[in-house]
Amino acid sequence: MSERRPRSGPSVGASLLALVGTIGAWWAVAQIHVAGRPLVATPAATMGALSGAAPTLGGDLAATAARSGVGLAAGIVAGLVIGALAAILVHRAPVIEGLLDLARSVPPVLILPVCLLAFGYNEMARVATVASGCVWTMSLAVITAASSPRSVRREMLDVAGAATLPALAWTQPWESLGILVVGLRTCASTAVVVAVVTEMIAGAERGLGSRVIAAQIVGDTAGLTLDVLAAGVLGYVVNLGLRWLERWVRRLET
Amino acid sequence: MIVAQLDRVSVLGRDQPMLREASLTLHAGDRVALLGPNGAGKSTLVRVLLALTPASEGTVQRAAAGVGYVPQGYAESLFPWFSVLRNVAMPRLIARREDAYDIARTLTDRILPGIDPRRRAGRLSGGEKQATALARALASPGDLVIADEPFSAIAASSRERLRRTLREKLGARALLLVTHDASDVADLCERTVRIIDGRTVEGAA
Repeated sequence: MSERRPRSGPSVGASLLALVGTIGAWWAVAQIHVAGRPLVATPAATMGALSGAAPTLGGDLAATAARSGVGLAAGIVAGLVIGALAAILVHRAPVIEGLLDLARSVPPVLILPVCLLAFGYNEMARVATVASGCVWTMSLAVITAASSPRSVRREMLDVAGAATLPALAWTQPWESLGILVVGLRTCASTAVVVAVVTEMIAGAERGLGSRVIAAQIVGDTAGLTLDVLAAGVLGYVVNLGLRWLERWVRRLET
Repeated sequence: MIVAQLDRVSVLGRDQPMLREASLTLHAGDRVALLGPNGAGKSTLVRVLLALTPASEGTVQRAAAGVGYVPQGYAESLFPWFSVLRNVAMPRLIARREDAYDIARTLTDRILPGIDPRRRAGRLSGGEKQATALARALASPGDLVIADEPFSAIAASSRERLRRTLREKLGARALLLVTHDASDVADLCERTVRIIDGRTVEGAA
């Protein structure tokens, strides 16, 4: 019988090789020219652009992060309230879940003109658009959490003679955490995308979306590549934080 | 005093009856072992007594609220996000008893020696989780304890100690013990009820 060899752990050498390979691939793509212009700037040119853009890039990154964060928070709060109300009513009117799903299917960026008409060309419209991208996903997550099958724990509380509200308090917030965190992760990714696109379409004094459009107008490929990378870093950091939160919740559940 | 009673109770399953005219009377202080092969209807009978499964026919006099219960799925019955102490205190906290944590602490010290009561229940081993479920059942303020194979995950070296604790802490309460272990019956029970094909047959321990 052959012995199974244990899988080797992560290697620093392999990671360095992957990093060097990625930079090499990036450099190769930067050599592709379309209509006389490179598709993306080379790694060296992008790093060069960073030194010039650093003072303003940080502010724009922070503006997009703040816009995403405030919109996300507003969307989450509204989603929790709408989801809780819908969860109470959905047994009597199952159509509610379908309506929420329909609302979620509307691309959030399409809501931007509605918000611009409602609030005018201001920050409120941008934040409301981001919030609209999160609210329906979150409310559906709440419905899913609330309709999960009765757990053995709920039966224990019934046997102990617990009334409905104490029984809910002992179980529901905790048993819902896993589903809500997954909803939160989806919402956070959406919030960053919608915030950047909103800045690109409606414009904003500060923000990565505005930078991208400005770089595109003046044909600054190195600046554009840098801004795209910065948006990626923002999304990656948000995702990293939420993955940590998700792991923590999973540990709590077991 | 009768604490719970089933009189010719039947429960219909999807394909066949899970209980057929099963009868059982539990008085205060009774120590009854519920025996039978797997799938005979032991857990169904317990669930009917606890009002977790409705009876299709027959009369059920359910025990008053606050029954101590160790379910077969003991691990899923704990609240993994709360401490061991809060888990054990749960039935008394629900019953708004002021002594909830004092009783829970005494039982935790006795049943889970060496375990920090502030430890999250989710971090316990399988045997420790089952012992926590047993401590919680004993902390219940009701007059009946129902334990569905409460020692199945407990190490053999600890079983005797836990049986002794169960015997001592039961007091005047009735015990319905679902078990396959003859030594549990000999140690803890005065009479047996066998379930065969959903029907109950009374006997001595």
